[in-house]
Amino acid sequence: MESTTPVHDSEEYLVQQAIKRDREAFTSLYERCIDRVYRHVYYRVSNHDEAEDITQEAFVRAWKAIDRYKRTGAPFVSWVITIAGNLIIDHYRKQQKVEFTDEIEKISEKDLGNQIPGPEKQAEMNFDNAVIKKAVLRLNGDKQKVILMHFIDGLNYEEVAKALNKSEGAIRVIQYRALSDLRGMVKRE
Amino acid sequence: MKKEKILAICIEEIRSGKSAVEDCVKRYPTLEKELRALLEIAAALKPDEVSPSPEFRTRAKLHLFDDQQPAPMKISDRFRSWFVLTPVKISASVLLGVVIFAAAGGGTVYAAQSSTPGQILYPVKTGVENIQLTLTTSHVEKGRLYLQLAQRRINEMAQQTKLNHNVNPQSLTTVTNLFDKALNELSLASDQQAIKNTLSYLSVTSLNEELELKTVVSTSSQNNQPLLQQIIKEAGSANTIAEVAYINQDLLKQKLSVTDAKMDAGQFSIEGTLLSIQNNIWDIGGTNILNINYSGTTPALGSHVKLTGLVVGNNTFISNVEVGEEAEQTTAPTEVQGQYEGNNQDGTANISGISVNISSANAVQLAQGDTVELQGDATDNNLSVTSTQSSAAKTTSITGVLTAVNLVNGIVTVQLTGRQVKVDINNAQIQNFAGTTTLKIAGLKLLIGHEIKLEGLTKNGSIFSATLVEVRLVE
Repeated sequence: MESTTPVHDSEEYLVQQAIKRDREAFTSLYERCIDRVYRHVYYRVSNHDEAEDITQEAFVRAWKAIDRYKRTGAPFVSWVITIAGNLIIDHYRKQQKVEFTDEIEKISEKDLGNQIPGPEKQAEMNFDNAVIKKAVLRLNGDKQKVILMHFIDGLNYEEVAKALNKSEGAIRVIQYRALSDLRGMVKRE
Repeated sequence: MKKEKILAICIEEIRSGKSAVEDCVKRYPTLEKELRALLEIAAALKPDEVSPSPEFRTRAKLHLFDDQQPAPMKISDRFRSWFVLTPVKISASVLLGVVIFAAAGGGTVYAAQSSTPGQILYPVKTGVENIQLTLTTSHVEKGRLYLQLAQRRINEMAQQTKLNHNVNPQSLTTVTNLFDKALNELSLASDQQAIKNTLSYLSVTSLNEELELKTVVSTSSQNNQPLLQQIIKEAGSANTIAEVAYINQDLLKQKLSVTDAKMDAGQFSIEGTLLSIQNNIWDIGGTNILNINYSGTTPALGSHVKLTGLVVGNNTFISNVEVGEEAEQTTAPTEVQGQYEGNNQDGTANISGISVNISSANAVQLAQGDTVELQGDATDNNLSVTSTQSSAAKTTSITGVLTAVNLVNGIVTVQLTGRQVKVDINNAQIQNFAGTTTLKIAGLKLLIGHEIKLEGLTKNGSIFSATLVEVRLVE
């Protein structure tokens, strides 16, 4: 049987320890992942307070459910992001709103500017980005997942494939179709 | 090649900076138009450049292991629930409302986080803290929270001092109580690993606090100086407790206080041949160390040992035992390092709670509080003073294992109580413990894994600076 001794600061080791209820290991994972989880949530809710609430809750739930974590080859962060994604859906369901689309319609350029820290960052945020973001959040199912995982969460094709339990070829096809859909939506705006 | 694969390759090349959109589309002229349109869309897909605030990170980390977590709510819902409250419900609900608001990071609570004593939002800040304390039930988490609050109070003092404001003398009592309560909580906790993590946190934060206050104390008003000096001392004591208890958690059972002068005076090290062990009394080259508390492996008699620890009351807490080779024929010289606390009734000198005989031939005048090093052999049980440092000249120092040397920036990384700290040594003298050999920074790289002592520490932004680096060369 293959036996490996993971490096003590490796994600693999930390996850193994966290599954054994090692709080320090889980805290290390939290520190490694929080920026990416927060950015993912913020991208989808565009609200600082809500992004914080959901991010925090995602980690609390991840800790509670860590013994059910299955190593798929995708980075640990993608699992927490999946939990956060479910929370976002619940959150909008509780608001009895149509998920994303109606909400995104309400985002004005001013609102977006207010939520981006620093004047230099505000300058970078132009209308096109807001339109594209709105379009991404209108994509359905795997298309949205692939675009978010690859472009927003920073996962590579292999990691996306493992996270979604598909082949890399399938991910490339979904990506192609998703970008084509986005192109169509942006043209119509 | 399939167009999906071509698109994927182009996206990766563009994202890694290897190609521009135009370079890529030119390679595939039949797909040029379609590829360009998709690549332009792909180029616009990027995350918002936001990151969670430091306050949120800390708060979220604090609540990672909470069993009960308030469900995420939208701000609008929170306010809506306030309007349906009847007056009778309000008083009972105020606490709950503040809890939810604090947990969710409402605007007022955020604004209050940077307030200092005397400002209008300061009671909000302390109110939220009290609620956090009420809601925290685990001893370790509570201990850590007390330490975070102590750190916060000290930062406020430093901030007020920089602004030439008088610091309320009550703040001293507050900080002392917070440190002591933290230690008490840790003494009641049972999760050894969690205690260790908190002590590691205390070790580094207390050092930071000590240095931060040292940078402001010299320019502070006469009113503030005694108060700040006392807190510097308490932070130093907290650091000592963390260092020793990290290795020997039995120390926490002593019901410690950071105001106990022993925390500073009781630190010692002794090096020599372990001659005997009887009833928790270790004889190191003729010097008896009483009531030893040590849970590690007992070294073999006759071996050369270096014990480091702290004497509290009648107990000696060992934080480190280094064992060398067994001594041959003649015993190795004995070295003791600690603080001179006067003479005992039997005429022996009290060095950090350890009784030693000082050779009458060695006519060095010692003042109480001096850090002293003594050396001798076991033949007559007498030690000679080899170096002293007056209590007034004492500087902040840390001792740890050198783990990395950055030659370009002149920064060393030292493993300290479970954590690593970076220290700038660009302006430091480097020598071995004997003080005779001057080393170069490049030479330090060969000494990774050895213990080093960094003295004259100051804080420069987020990094420590040292004026002296001493390296113990283990043979």
